[in-house]
Amino acid sequence: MTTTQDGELQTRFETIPFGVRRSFQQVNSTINFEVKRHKKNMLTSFGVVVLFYILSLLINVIGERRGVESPATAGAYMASYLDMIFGLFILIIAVMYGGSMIALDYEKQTGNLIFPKITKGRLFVGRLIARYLLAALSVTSYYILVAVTALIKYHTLPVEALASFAWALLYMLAVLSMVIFFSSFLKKTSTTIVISLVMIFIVFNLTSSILVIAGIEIEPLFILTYYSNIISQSFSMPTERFFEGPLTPNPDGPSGFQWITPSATGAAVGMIIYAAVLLIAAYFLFRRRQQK
Amino acid sequence: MPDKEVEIVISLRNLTKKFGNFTAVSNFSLDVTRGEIIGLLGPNGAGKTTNMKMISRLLFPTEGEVWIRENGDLQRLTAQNKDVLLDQIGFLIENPTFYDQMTPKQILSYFAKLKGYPKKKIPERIEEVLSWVKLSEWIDKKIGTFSKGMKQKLGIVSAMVHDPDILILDEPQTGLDPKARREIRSLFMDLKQQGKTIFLSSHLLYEVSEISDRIAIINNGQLIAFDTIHNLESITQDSILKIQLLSIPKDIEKTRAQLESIIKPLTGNKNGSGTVLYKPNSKIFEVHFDGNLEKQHNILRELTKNEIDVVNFSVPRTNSLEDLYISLVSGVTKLTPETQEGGI
Repeated sequence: MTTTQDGELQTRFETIPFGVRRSFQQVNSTINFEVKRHKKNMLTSFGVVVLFYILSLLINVIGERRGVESPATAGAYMASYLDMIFGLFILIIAVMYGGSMIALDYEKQTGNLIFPKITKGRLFVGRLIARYLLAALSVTSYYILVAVTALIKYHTLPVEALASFAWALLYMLAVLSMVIFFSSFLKKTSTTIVISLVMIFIVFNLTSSILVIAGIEIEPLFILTYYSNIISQSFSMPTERFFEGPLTPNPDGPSGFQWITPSATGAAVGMIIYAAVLLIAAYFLFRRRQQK
Repeated sequence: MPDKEVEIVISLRNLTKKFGNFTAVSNFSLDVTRGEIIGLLGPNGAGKTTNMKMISRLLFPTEGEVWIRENGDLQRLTAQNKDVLLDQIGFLIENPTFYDQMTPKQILSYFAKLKGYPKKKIPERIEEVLSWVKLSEWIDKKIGTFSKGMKQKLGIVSAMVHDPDILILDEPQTGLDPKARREIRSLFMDLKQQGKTIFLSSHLLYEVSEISDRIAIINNGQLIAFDTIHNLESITQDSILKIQLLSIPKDIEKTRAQLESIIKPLTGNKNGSGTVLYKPNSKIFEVHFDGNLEKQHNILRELTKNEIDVVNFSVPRTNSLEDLYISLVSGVTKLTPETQEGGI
């Protein structure tokens, strides 16, 4: 908006016209902006990575000091870092990056500035990519630390680590999708985080326990946390997929049926469907959602 | 394409927004023409922000439509063409809230890129718009450290960073100190000089009346007046003339009647005003008339000619627009349909 020497209004600049190029530019700008916006979160998530790594390392070290036999292979050793505690790690990283993705713009009213400037679809895609990349970076950092430790201890790395890493990334996408889904309709980021934690820790685990106690033999592909088992189990594939036997130490007590590991196909399809359904639902809820 | 001087760039047609049983905006219709400044005036909760949000599609109208000119034609705003139609508009909706950890440079750069502003020119443009609101030195500071007024200024320039032809600004001067308000008023006038169209809302009559070509008054979600300031002011046609005499007459009623006989034929009030009243507390005679300066002069001349000892003769400069605004929003004054619809 400048005037020429003749005092005439200079014509409007040539904007990049709408179309594929503009869409890509908007998504790309959103990714870059989101990465800059989450610089502080990146530091925090790196702290979480280090914390979880140290906790797992301590468990292993203390166990060895107390006479627990070390895992025989590097794969088994790496798997010990990727059991239950790793599920918690994934969830923390997911809520850290996904909890605010949509809810924050309604909670803090930042959407008033952004939404008129870009379609919600492009904003959604840009943010999703950025946040997934950041979350994946945390997973990668954790795997690097674990791999380096295993390499130091066993002087070798199992090729299965790559498969495990891939499963971890896919599981991260599924969990992130669930958090984003909650973020798309809940009013506050904090509520999104709490509901996500309750869903993963309480609802899914209770459902899983009910299925075992009831002796239901249907594979729980609808329980998101079930898929996390493949991350550590992938070091010893093929592995037992279910357990059937007494639920108590008493052999004459009631018996149950527990699924342990999904098949590779089941896990891949299940997690992709989980992520796709939740992300599509989140997008449509976001699109229909209005400011206060 | 119609004549540029009266080219409608935004047309709000029977906009209605309901939240459950509550109707925030009801059948709101208004046309914004290119190059003008329109002030949307109304008390808090009148429906100003809801209207602005419906234009920006932050809210979806329950009924009615928003039409925006694009490539010479008015087009109905929908979810599909939102990006194209809103590209030429800069919005500031409510008090701007930013991501505290970001800097003005980062935020404005992002917004400019989203709107397709040429990448190479973005740094220069950001410096330019920040200089307008005296925030150049804060370009790399985190917004979380900004005062409310600074955030407001940043909100205003964030609507302008991509150099839109139309600006829609919701309460742009909220939180600004008097000096900053003056600067922003001056900025808006500069933008108007450069051919920009500005549609701004406020509950502050002075801020709107100083710069607007036309004023729309909204109350309880309904448009109750829309016209030029001159036309709106002339609607009131009521001023009070105060006359103080040298001494308090012994026979007040006789003096009052004498004054009335002199003044009444000169007031020209259609509704029969011109009746002289005596205010014992202030010991002043008051006469209602239409504020016409010539009539005021005639009254003074006739009083002097009749040897009335006038020592004080004044028409207090009450803001007639303010009076009208207050009487409209309180429902005392009702306008004719012609005035409600306004004219160009």
